[in-house]
Amino acid sequence: MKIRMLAFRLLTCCILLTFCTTTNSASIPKRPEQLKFNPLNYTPPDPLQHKFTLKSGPTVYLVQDNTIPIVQITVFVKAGEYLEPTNLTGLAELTSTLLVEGGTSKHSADEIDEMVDFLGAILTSSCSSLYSTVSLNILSQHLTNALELLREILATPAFQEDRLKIVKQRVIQEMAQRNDDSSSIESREAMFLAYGTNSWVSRIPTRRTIEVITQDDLIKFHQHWYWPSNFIVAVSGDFQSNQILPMLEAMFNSWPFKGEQPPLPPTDFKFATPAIYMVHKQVNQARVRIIMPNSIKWGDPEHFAAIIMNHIFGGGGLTSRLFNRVRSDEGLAYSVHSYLALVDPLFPRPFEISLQTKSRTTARALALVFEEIEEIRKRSVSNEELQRAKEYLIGRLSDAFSTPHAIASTFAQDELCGRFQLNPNYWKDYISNIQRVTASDVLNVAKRVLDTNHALILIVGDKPEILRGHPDYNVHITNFVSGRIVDLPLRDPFTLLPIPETK
Amino acid sequence: MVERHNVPRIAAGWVAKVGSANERPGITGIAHLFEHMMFKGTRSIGSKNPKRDLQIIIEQEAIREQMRQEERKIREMLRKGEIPDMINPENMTPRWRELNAKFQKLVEEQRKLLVKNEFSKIYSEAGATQLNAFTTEDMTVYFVSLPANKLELWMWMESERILHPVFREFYSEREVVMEERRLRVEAPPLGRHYEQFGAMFWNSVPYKWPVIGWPSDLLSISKADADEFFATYYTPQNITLVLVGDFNPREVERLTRKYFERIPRGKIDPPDVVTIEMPSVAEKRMYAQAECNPQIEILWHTVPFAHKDSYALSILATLLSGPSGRLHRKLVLKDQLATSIWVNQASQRWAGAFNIGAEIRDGIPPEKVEEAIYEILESIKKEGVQDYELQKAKNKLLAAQYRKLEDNFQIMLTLLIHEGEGNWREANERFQKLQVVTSDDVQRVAQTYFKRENRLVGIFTRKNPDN
Repeated sequence: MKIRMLAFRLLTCCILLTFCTTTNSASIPKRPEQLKFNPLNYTPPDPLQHKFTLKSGPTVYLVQDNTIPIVQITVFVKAGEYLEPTNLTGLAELTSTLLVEGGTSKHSADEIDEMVDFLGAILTSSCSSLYSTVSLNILSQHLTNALELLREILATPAFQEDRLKIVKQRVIQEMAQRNDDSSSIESREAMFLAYGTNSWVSRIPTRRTIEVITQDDLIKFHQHWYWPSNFIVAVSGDFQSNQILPMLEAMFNSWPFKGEQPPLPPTDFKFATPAIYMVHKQVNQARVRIIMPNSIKWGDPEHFAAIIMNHIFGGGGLTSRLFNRVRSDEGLAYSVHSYLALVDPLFPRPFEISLQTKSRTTARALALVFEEIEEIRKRSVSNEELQRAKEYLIGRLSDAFSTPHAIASTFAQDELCGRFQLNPNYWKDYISNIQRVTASDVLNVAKRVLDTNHALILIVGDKPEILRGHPDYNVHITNFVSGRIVDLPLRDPFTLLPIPETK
Repeated sequence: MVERHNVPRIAAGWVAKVGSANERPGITGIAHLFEHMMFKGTRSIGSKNPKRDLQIIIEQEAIREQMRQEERKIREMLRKGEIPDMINPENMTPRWRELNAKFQKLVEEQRKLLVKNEFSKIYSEAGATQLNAFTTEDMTVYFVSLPANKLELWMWMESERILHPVFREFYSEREVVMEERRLRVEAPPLGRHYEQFGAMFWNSVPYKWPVIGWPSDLLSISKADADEFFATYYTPQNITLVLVGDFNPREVERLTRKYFERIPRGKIDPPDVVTIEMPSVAEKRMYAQAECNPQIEILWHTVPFAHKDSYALSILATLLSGPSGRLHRKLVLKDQLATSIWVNQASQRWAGAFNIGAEIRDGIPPEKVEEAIYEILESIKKEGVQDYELQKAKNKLLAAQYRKLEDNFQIMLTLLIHEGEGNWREANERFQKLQVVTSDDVQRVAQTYFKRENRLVGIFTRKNPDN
């Protein structure tokens, strides 16, 4: 391997400004509203300008930018966890990990580690319930090597036995931590409550499902799903588009096997009945999550109204109503947020509100949240609030596309999740769709999303202290939802079976 | 200023060279609390009736002063063992609760006048994103990303909050920080352990207390403390502005002069931190049982920011880490004593530390991993490192340096952090200094710093092995 040293210079022009005390500042206005700004008409990038379809199968999004000598290549693969057999839960994840840690037919795992490190590259893989990725970030002078390496990894991985053993041991040892942090317990139980314990969204590996996975299972899973028709590729950075296309074409050409089209994921989720679900853990801060079975999926007619409603209610960082009440007014939480995940055109994700507060103010914080829920369901938002939310959502658009990689991966994910196919003009029409939303649209969608009749509450924390409440506030956690408390036992971290209570 | 025209946005921020190292026992956490207060508005932002608002703050302070007198007595009760803590409301005296009720009345009156979080709202409706700030031992950094046409808004807002800040809602914000402390330190399984591990490590430099502060101190910091802190450290000579993105530098210069030159220079320069870290005389060890997988953390005293040895130490850290590094190869892959390894050299403004940590594989005695780490370090002390390894580390650092230039926000943070640690120029110069490090340099720093008396070792094992 040859190394070439690159001259390096940070692209800075620096002028030092020193403060002096004598300047006329008479022309500085009293309020920021009095400032005048030049108009800025930002148009988001057009996916069709970046989209290419290779003869060998994959769709490619290319975003060329030659300012920095780095290329980032991400291959998105339709090989998510929902495709694994239930008795082998963890298989998709192990396959994804072993692709980059398990060697190839040409190079051992050690050799690949060495090569990647020596080139200063970053090779990673990830796996989620819907899809997997393999990414390589590398200096552009090594682009040819990089594409060869990626081809090797994706087409002819070795899934070395010795590495599989090490990774399996690591994954099982990681399980031991499942009850250590109250936040891990919260996320896991929230998933079970929102989707049911057996759905593909909430299924997680146990010691047993990992132990039984063999190299053969990895090979089978790989040959089913990891083939060019299931790839969407995002390439960004320092290259020439006309030169890289034939290279990519070659990279995916004559694949050694033919895989399958993945089926659509099932969407029959089971939402738990309304109640206050509690997991006892001896910590001085309660983690609280309110979950509602939202019916809005990506592309719904009320999509944009829902985005604005969530921003005003609890999604909008340091300015939302929840932030104002729970954090600023009463100092009850550091973080309080609502989440509306409009990502899947196939199925809606639940609407969630989460906060953490000291055990004894849990009921008080809940009271404030439910007051705000009532408020946004009852009364129209003010024009000023509506306008502020729109200005923010429109103004931040350029931030979502601020790097070549952000552009390429946003478009690739739109394609992967079927959003691009459903509405190729989503980004083009984004601004006008936001503009069109009225205060009564926001009110209507608030009534639809904030479904208090079916809401449930999950609390992880010190149960006796939480129930004890606070002398300054006349409120109890049973005042909310059905008022019924359901104790959730801790689960054995390796089997996920409930641990019987000890006396 | 770094001019870049790839997107019509500007990443803008400033650093005040003040952090928890500038605190003293009794007001620990004030630098960070202060960072929170800087979002509470100014004389003209945040209140419908600024005049009455300021009066209310004065009335609130008068009651708070009485409450502090009472808190002094309550603290004494705590020291005598008459109450278990000062957190639960039942432990406060009737007098304190009476004063608190009076105080809350004023809070409610003030709330009616507030334009809630107006400072953040103005930015938000301008399409600004990433509005936030952070505090470390050495610096406090405030930043935002704006559409390019909102440059002057940034100038207006930031000069305004340095010139006319109003620390309203001071006491509820203290509660927010207490919740932040619970979230980051008290609730996570190893939060308090790491806090005390840090307190054990430093011998004399003021890094011993946590940035977020001790709870006792947080609950007794007064608005007067905050005023004094602001007057000392938020002076123009202690602040640097950084802008990266789509602008014309001349326009930035013009506006900076217009908005920031009106802020008077502080009469005295902020005091230097004069304490130099005392050399350690003996190894320190912490054995902890906690809700965590078995792990080991080793810290060695090294050197502060831009010290001549800091470059060879960074090369050494890079060379030891990564999937092909010596530690991972031996401990994770070959001998399978550990499941993961981490290595880091952190040179801060007043002192530095080298860290090697590992999650230990179940069933392996932690001391065995510790010994294996020392063996690898000993071999470097004896034989140095190979040219190939050295070049690999340099290649990795080169690529990493380029990656930091990918977006405006990263470049801004890099410059702000370097400036906060001592000098923004180091962001440009550091790279050259890393590239000239030799194998001899690496061997020499290994010999100098990896000494037994220079280290703190923490061994964490699972509290309840049955679970």
